[in-house]
Amino acid sequence: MSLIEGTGFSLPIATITERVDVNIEVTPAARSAVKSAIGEQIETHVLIISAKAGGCSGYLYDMVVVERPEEEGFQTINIDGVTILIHDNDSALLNGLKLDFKDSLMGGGFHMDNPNADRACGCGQSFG
Amino acid sequence: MIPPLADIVEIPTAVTLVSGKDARNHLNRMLTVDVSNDSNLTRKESFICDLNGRIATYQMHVDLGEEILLLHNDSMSEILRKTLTSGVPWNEKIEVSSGDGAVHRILIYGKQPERILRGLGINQAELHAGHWTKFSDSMISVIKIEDDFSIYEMLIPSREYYEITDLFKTNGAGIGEVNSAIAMLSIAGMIDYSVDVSGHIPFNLGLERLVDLKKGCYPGQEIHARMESRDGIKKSTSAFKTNMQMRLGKSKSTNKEQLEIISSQQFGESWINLLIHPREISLSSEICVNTPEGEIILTSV
Repeated sequence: MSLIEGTGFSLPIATITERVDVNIEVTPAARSAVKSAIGEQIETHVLIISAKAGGCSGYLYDMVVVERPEEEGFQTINIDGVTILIHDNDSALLNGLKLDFKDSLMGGGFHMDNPNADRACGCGQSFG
Repeated sequence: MIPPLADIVEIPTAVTLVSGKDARNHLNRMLTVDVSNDSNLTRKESFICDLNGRIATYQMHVDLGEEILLLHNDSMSEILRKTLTSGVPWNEKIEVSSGDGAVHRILIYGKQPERILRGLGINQAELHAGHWTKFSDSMISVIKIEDDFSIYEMLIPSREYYEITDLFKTNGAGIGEVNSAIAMLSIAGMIDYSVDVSGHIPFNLGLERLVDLKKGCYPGQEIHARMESRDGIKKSTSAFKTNMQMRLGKSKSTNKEQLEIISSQQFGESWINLLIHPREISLSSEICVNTPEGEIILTSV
């Protein structure tokens, strides 16, 4: 037995998150950059945009290109043959997001314009 | 006032368990300290702050590998558990459970608690403040060792609470009072995590050791970095003695200095108060405070 074994601990606490139908805007520059990132794997791989706790302002954006996950609970957005997934748990935080891409040496890369954000971190990776 | 041998006292505490293989990563994105390299049985305190850098929660960690036990003031339970269960990424597995009542926290304090610990077969030299040491199904660690007194902390699962506390009593420990134990921590320059410090800036409490500006972003980090780099830390917290209990909250000294009392605990015939005050107030001086009961003199401890 250890300190936390035995009785006395509750079942995991569940948080009900709001689910909304997600709409996002992807600028032509961002579409081109996403397509370039996925490359020849466009049939099998997807772009997942998500928000996770942390960062200076409370939430951090995350973008990953992965093989289409088996998990349920994603909303699918197809743009120019690219599949973008957003999880239901993130839908209220990311609905209305505008994804842009700036091709510059300083401050370049993907940029998010999120109407749900009251504030954003200077580096642009965090919002709240 | 200080127990000649040692007293034990249970400090009421709320308990939250964070479990899952990604629990440490999830916590590390929010905490003011870096827990990414913590190992099993690490003992560490931390804050979760709001976007304005003010403390939302203050907790003690018991690192158990893929499970991390957090001990905290009950008033922070709701916001802590809500914060920990939100923003969990789609590809991470994290569960948050309440363990209120499942684990008891006792402090062992006095002039010679080591003698009692020895009677229990615990070698004080093997205990470290940054580490929990197993004792039966319980855990023990050091809080503070001063010249004239020491304070140890023990976490006991409810199933062996009476057995362990009976062992202490059999070996000569008295039963102390929560007020006295918290007051002794204050005298030792510490703010116990059972004290409600929500809404305060960590620097104003003298708890900058719980703010790691090199770990990367966390909520409130921009504010903390700005305060630290622009010499924006104007307040400090110290223990002051009075002959009566002080009302918690903001007040003004007779010199018009802004003060705030965050804890007032009876200690023998006196009261030990934790006071947030402007840094320029000399700790060797007395402060006269205006209160509805009249002017009260606070003497530095």
